[in-house]
Amino acid sequence: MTAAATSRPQAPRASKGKLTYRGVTLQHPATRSRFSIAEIRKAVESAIAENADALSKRK
Amino acid sequence: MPTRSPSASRPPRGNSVFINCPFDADYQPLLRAICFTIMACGYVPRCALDFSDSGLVRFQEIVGLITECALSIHDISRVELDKTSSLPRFNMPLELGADLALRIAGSPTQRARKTLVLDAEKHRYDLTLSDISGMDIEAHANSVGKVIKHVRDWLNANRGDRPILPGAAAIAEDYAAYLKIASGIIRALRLDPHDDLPHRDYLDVVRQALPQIERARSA
Repeated sequence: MTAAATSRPQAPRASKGKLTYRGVTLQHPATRSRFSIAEIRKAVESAIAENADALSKRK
Repeated sequence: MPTRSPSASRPPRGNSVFINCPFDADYQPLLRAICFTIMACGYVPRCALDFSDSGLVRFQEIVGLITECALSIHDISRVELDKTSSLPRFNMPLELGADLALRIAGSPTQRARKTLVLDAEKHRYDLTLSDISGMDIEAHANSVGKVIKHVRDWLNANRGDRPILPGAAAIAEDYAAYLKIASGIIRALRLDPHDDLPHRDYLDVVRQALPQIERARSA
């Protein structure tokens, strides 16, 4: 068995900086935040993790 | 009055939506919902807050901004007298007039503009601004759900042959989910609990939050 055959299937990589929502490609705002994208992404991830049960449809 | 320029990257005109509305605390829930919906539909909200946190911008800059957007939303619901001055505010009708003038007498590009007019009450404009009869005018009753539906449906109706947009109900549910996590985002960004996100931070937060909310809600 080759290495390729045993490797896990991977989700397709999104192109750099491209975000999609319900099939729509999201545009960059015309303005620039005071926070870095990494800071914002981390803040959103943290807030979603805190509220995972409230957000999930499986309640 | 000092103003700052928007970032160097100007969004494509065809994806840009100019918003003319009050920038006070009373209207903020509707403005936030409008911006959320525009972002969720793959467009870019543009307004005077791009230049100044107070929204106080020279009229020339407003007209320039309108020309950079193929679509515009004008909310003329603020017909009450100003609480401090007891006088009416004319900025919103003035900017709507500038937009309509471009549609009528502008370049061919500007004459193809798409315009949505919002008011709180159905047909109140017959009394306050009857010259605009016959345009796309919708009443939102100061309801976040209704404003999301009107903005989404209007964007969807003006997309030509581009794919259909997510439904208004899904966007409204995702916006409700966003409101549940908003205080957590503010806390994670180490802002004080009573702080609100300034407009320019809010838009980047929404862009990052939309895909994550979609994933969390489908989990």
